[in-house]
Amino acid sequence: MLVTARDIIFLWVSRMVMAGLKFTGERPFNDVYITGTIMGSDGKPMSKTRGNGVDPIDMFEKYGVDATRIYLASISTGMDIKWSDLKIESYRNFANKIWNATRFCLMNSAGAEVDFAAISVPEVVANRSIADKWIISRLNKTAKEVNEALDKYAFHVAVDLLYHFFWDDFCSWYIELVKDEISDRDHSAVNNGQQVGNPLEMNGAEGVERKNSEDVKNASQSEARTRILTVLEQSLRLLHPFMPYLTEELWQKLPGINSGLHNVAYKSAEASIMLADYPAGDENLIDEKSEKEMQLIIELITKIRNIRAEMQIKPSDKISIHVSSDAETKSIFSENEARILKLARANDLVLGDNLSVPDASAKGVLTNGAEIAIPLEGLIDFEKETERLQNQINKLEVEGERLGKQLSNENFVNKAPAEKVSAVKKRVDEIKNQIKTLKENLETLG
Amino acid sequence: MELSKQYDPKEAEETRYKIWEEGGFFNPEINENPAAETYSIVIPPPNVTGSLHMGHALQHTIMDSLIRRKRMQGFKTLWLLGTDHAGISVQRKVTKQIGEELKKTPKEVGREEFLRRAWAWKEKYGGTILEQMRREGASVDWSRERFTMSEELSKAVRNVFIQLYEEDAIYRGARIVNWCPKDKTVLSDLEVEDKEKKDGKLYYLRYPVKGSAQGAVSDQQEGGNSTFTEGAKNENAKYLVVATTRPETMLGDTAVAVNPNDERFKDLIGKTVELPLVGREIPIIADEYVDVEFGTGAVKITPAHDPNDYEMGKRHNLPELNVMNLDGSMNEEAGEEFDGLDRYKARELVIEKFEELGLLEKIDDYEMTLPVCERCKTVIETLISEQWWVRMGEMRDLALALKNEEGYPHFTPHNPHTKVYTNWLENLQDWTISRQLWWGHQIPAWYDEKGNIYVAKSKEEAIEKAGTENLTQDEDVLDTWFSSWLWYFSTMG
Repeated sequence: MLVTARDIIFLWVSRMVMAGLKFTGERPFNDVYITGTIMGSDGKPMSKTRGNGVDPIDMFEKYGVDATRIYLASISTGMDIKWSDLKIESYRNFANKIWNATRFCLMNSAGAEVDFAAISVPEVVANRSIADKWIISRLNKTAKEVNEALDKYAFHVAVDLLYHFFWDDFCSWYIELVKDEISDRDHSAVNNGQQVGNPLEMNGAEGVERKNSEDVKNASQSEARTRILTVLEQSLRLLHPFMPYLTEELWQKLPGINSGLHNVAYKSAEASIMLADYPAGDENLIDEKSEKEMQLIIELITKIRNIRAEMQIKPSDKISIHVSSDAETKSIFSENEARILKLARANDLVLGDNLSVPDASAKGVLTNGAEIAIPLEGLIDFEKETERLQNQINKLEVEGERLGKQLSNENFVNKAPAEKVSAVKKRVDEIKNQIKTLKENLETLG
Repeated sequence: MELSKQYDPKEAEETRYKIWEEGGFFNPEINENPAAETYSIVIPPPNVTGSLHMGHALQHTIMDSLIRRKRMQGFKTLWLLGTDHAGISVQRKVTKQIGEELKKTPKEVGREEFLRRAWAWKEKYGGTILEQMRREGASVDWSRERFTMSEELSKAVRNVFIQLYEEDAIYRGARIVNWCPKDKTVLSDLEVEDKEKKDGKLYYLRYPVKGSAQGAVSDQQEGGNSTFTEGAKNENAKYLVVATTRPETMLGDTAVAVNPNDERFKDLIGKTVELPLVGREIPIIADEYVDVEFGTGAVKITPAHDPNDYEMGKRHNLPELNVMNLDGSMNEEAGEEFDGLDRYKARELVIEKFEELGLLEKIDDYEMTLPVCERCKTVIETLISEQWWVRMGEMRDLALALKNEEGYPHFTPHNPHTKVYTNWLENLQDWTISRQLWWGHQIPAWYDEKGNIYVAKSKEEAIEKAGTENLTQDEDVLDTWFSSWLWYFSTMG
């Protein structure tokens, strides 16, 4: 196939087709992908005279090659597109995120190594926790969809999928969910304040029992570590075509890496991620049920975190969560109570068919209709909070009035640049929404 | 294993590429599977004058991500690269160099020395973009790197030229061409751009109709009732007014044309006008091509200096009168007063004289587009020139059939490229492949004293064919794209 810009379709592409047909009797290629033009951030073609050019070498120096590459792939829609410094920066941040996530996994990797069998056998996976089932499903679905996108040359779609899988699914949620399982904490110290002792030094049955339970805990920790390392390793492979340098550096550092991970065509070659088998995504490991369930848990926790932020509840304060929902939702939350409590910083999860909460409770609704409520007594200073909210509302109302006056001023609307006018309109809408939420919260406080 | 706190891209980039390249990871031979399917991409040859720009970075990222994935899927991947010799660009750079260093022109330095310098330039600077591609992480098979002027490719180019010539698909002929007066070479339509000119002018010139009452001057002196109206309406009318943006070309007019259905001029068809300044009598002809809405409805026809006029000239068997030199100045055919004058000065002089003679009807402000050389942005001239051409008919038909019947190549995105591609093929003209440059593939044609042409693989073969040693090779080289179009199969082997 061929990749080129449109200015040489006639000069080169068409002529190569003609030469191929005439001199070899065959067509030289099947597919031609035409890239769009990258404009300067002013929306005009890059040129020296306009001074809006961006030099790729400068970008390599400033953000690194991989961030530049994946940024370019992310804007490859075939259409012309404006350069954005903000966007390439976000991909530099993405590169750092990948680095940091790997570093975290490595710091908690003793006793474990990459092992594909740990996450690829459906019967084994089916017995794992919902977090594991979920991330493995997400991994396989992402792999499948990334391959489909690249087969169609939809590069921006592929990058989007990878970005969201790694940043949101893997980092924001999976790592959080399994942190305890993989962290190097002395689990025995948690046993109801009992004396911490080295099981090997203990006598008799107690020592054996303690050691067995230690072994079990260690074994489960190694397994958890193996799983996360393997998911990480697969992710690096998926990212490699876009971010070759970063992924190779990280891959080489993972325990358990060897040429056995290569595609069969490269058995004798030295170990390199360049030759690792590209994940195709296994249909049998895509678990819609687990994804749906986890999505519900994620939604619940996200909603609670939003409420905590809006109501300014201190992070160290534990809350009580009340949920009224259908039976299915109830059972999902009940099965995952420990995780929910931990991630939402709650000490109480009350599940029922209806909510019975004091009036002074922050409320929310999930997309499936389930209602949640968090009693606020003891968590916030009602007077102070009421005052604060009222002040916020007042400030916003003043700003809203001022901007409203601007918009009803004909001179402004007709003479100011279109961008400015639309920015003002946007802010007015934003303010309206913010006031609405604040008023709702104010009501909650009674 | 410990990871440092921060990712340092520079360090990884500097060390890792070498490991990959030296370890043979980019060569297809690393694939041990004899049954492996192949996957190949040919990179549009970046030219030796090039330095990486954002368009390249985008294309290379796309290609490299496709190649890397395929490699990881077990395909035998081949990603081929080469540089193209970029005829005009290098010619300019070397010309500039000898101008600065030796204060000489290429002609003064001679072909051999010029080419020696061109090769040296290529060695020194041609690799820049390749180094930049390494930095990009491009997993190119460097062992197969090619240059369009390598032995191998030069041979392929020559063989293709000879084959087409023997099939009569390549011919030498005088046709109207795009000429860059600065680079002094012909350009194909694709190498000409449109440039907007907001402050252009449209000049309305009066051509006296022969056989009408009296000449313009005597009528003016009589001060009689003037029937000097635009687009003279009947047999008694004195002038035919034509509108033009290039008055200097009127020196080469060989006809004036009107639309046969235009009521205004029906009675003038078949008559003649006396061309001012030159004195030549030229016919008033009728042709459907004339646009009744433009200007006055009557157009001056200069077959040697306008592609549309050229076609019309063929239709009506008009003489092709070339009034310009290759550097954009007028030549002796333009008359003594204009001979040697720069085209724009000639324009001024023509207008001056028309005014003196009372033959300048008016000058309007006119927004227009000018054709310019895509590289140096000089306004090009069209003129008739002897060049080498490729008849595109057969190849065009093959390509159209492939697209219309089998759908190849498949364009992503589909719109607008598919339609643009087929439209262009349908309107394809013959391809001018000769260039008046030294840097490039010298045309494998030799001339004997009588001007007979001998196309051959080498001078020796030409001598054999001609039966004499008294031969000179064609000075011109082939359009750079004439080697690039063979890129695919000549690099793939």
